[in-house]
Amino acid sequence: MKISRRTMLKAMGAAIALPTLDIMTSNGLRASTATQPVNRLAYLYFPNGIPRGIWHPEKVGPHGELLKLNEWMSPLEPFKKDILIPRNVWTPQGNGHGAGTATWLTGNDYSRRKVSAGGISVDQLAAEHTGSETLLPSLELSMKGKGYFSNSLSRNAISWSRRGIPLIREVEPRSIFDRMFRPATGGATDRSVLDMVLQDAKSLRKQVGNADQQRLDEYFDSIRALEKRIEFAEKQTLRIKADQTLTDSLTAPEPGIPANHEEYMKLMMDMIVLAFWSDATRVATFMLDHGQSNRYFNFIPKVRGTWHALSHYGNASGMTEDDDGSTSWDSVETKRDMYAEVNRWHHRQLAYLLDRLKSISEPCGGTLLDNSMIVYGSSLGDGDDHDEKDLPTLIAGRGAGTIKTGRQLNFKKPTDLSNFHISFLNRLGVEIKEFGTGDKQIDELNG
Amino acid sequence: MVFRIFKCIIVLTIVLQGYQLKAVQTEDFAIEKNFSSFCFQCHGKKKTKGGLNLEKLLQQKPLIRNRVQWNQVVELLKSGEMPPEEEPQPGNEVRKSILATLDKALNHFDYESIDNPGFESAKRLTNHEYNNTIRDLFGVDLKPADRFPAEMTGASGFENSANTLFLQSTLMERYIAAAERIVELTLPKEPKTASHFLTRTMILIAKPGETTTEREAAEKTLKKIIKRAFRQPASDRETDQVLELYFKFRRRGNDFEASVKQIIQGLLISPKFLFRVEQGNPTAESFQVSDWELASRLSYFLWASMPDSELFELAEKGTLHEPSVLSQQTERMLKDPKAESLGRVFAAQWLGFRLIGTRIRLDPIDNPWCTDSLMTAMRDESAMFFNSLIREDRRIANLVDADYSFINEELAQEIYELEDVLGTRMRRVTMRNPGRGGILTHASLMAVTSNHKETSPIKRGNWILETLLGLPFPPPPPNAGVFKEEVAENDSLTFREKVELHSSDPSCRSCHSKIDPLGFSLENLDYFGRWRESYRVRINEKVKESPPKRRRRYEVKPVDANATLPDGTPFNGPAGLKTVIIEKHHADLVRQVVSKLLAYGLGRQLEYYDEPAIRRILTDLEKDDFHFQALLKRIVNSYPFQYKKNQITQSVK
Repeated sequence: MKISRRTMLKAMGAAIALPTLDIMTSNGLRASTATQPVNRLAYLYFPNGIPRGIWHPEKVGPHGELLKLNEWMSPLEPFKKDILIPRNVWTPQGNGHGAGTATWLTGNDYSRRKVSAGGISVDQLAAEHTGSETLLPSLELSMKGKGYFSNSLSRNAISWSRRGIPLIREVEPRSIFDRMFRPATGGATDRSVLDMVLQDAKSLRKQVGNADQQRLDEYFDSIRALEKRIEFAEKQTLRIKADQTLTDSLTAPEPGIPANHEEYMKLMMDMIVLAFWSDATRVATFMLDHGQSNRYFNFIPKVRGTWHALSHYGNASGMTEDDDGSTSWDSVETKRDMYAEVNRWHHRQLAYLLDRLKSISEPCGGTLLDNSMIVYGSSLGDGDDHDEKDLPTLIAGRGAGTIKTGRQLNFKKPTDLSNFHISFLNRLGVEIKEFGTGDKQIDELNG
Repeated sequence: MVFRIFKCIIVLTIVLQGYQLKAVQTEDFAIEKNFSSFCFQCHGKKKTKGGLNLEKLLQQKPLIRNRVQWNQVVELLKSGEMPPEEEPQPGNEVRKSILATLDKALNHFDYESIDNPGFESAKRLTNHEYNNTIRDLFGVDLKPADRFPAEMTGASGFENSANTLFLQSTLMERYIAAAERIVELTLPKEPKTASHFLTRTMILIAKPGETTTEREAAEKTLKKIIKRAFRQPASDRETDQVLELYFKFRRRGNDFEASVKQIIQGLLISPKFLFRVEQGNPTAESFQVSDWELASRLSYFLWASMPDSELFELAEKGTLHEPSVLSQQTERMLKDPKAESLGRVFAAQWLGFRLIGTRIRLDPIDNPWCTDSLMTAMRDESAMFFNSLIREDRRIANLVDADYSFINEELAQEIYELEDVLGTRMRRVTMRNPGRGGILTHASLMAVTSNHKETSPIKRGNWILETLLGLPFPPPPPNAGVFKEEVAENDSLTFREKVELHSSDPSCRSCHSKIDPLGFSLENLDYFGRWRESYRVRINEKVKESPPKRRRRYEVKPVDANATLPDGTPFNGPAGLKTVIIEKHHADLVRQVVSKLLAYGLGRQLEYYDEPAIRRILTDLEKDDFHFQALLKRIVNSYPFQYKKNQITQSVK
């Protein structure tokens, strides 16, 4: 299957024009020329959990085959063969909007005072491994927060570096694009200028106390990443020049943040697709909102109240401290349905991402989705029970042939999310036996 | 001889320390045993109800380290609320002995025994500081950081806290793009506007010519910009390094200006510019920071920006740290409009009115009258008010009981119902209503402490105690915030009555008896701070139809702003609240203002070892009759502001 330029453009959204190139035969902008399919990992975080049960499929086969999804999952129906829905996943260290978000990918406990999630997060561990082969070790994306807690560190941090630093999350599509494709300008990025500032950093490092040295190490890391980016961009410029078919150059999305929430989210997802496709990175995390989002989804017909308020559907009076004071509901059922509706809206966005990934063929066979592991989940189980049990966790993509999709995995015993992290890490070639609270692989992923 | 005396002192000290240690250990043992029998079951390693792990807390010595949490424990033990009724109770004697031990450890701790001015690790400039520094370096207010990733805040509540100011490649990319853009915009090849010419006179101070060699011109220009950008004079090595780079660019065919400009772009991404770094010291002793470093501490505290030429001159002379010079400089700096950052950054982050516009936001459907300009005016009102207290050197109490504010026509029309204020300019207005004036009645804070379209007496009460007075409560139990069904369903009750019933629940009472009255007294001010004598109460009715339905109706009830403190003192409305705060909580208010300003000034969260400095400032401040400028002078003259001690840390893997 060849992909026409038009399909590609459609795939990337109207804002970005991609170069004309035959990605079946040419390796395109790919930095790597691997003959083996590469595997990618993306974690998509959503806050506030789900009403328990709306992820339970309507019909399953004798071996857990997904035959028909629940109505609330209907946007994912076309992808039921590409996904895996484990049930009874949990995080033994607890949950919640703050600590639960911060530790979703570390499997540890959160300390507010120390600003620590207990260790490196799974995506960063993966990035350490795959990062040497790609432009950026990883991408950290977030939808720009609104309302309460938009600046709360723990609710906005899921990726933690080995140094224990919560990574800054990109909220603007254009700046993500620039990080991948903006060529060096020759001003501050001139080699001699960079040598000078590195010299500054080295001399400082000698003068300051111990704890300050860590700050300077952060500086060194960021300059190193910059050098790599420049190198990658130069390589790409050469490739584009050498390839007669590349008549168009990459056109960046407009700066700023689209006002339309759906358009914005799709553009962010396009950036993930673009990054995976060009092999700019193989690891990405995307927060669809901050850990206690109280965004209004009034643009969905019949939905009223904030997301977080809706998640506490057990009290429909509109009088709890989670409520906005002006919205109340007829009944618990109405409120719960609106909560589920917000979830369904997000399932539709997830479907968009899966569709894009699936429409792109890979040089070594299969689609981009086949060669990815997309994890979509939350740090809360049921928003009203406010628990860490039965966490909504969905895996899409076959992990380069290592995951048997199209099934529900109905675990009898609570199964530690950390064990899933271990399984994904192993599939990326990170040999690790323990992570967070986990100590084994999930064998059931193989089928 | 001297040596021998020294030795004796050392031996004696060791013996004394040993003795103290032993005494402490015995007490520790007793308290640990008691806690283990009565508390650990719910607040230990296995369970941490209410997020409290006493087992862990007891290990963190001295206990004063976690003063806030321990004070909460003391409160709960004193009131008899803990252990809960159904659990085994310690006898009166045991309870008393625990309290006595804690009292000794918390209230009679010998602070003089600590010598620790604390440690600030190198701080990246915050986005605010970056914007201001660029403004002062180039003379143009470009605000390049407005598009940088938003700063997050951790436990200190201030963005300038070192422990949340990380630097990552994502941000580095922004710094690089900004550096290039700033130089392009402010120093174009062909200057056109007045500001272009101004920037040139600030930066391109020398040119190669008949009397100046090219090397001299380059050296003079670059040394000046290095001093200003790095906030330290250029070292010989730095000078050599940039000159070498200069000639490298010249050899590539760039002219004088282009070469200098490219070097400036480099300086703007140097760690010496992006970080406020201070010299380390290999010893474990505390040491005084240099005058250059002090100049930066001072300017980033009072201006959220770089030092100006006068501060640089005093640093060069080496006199800046002298108390009289420092006080005089503080006075001068507070007169400068740059000191407005204290209201716009410090007060906005402490009191929370920076959330206007993010947390309280424009909602064209629900609040068509709430425009961007109104929200700006609300923020400006509080910032300008706070700045007036400092500029006019008012008393700390005036924060609460001032009889004036700053408003414009929109605020006057929409919020304050004042007739004769016209135009968009914010101006000083005397408030005749005793229920107005003072930070407690500002539209901004009334909005921030409300729910979406309804006041929340609990949020307001909690804000007063925790944020304004620094008296935090233990976190509410997990089911807090939910009325019991019979209360929630009882439609004949007003919200206030429901809260009162809710708070009469014994597990809620101890905190709510303190929180609620403060919030109730502000009920005259609605969720945007508009005055009201009555309010609409929403009543949900079940209608007997089939199927049964609920119908909402509204009833108008008069506002009940009467309240009683836990000690029985009655008071009424915002005016009464102000009096009560000044009469009963003046000391708390002062301590909180001191602590918050100190934390902001130091750029870190305060630790137990800062207590001696706080106490000293508090004692001195009484002599100064609690005036703001005196407080700021005390802070910049304080031990932690002028000294530091290297932290002994294990290096990170």
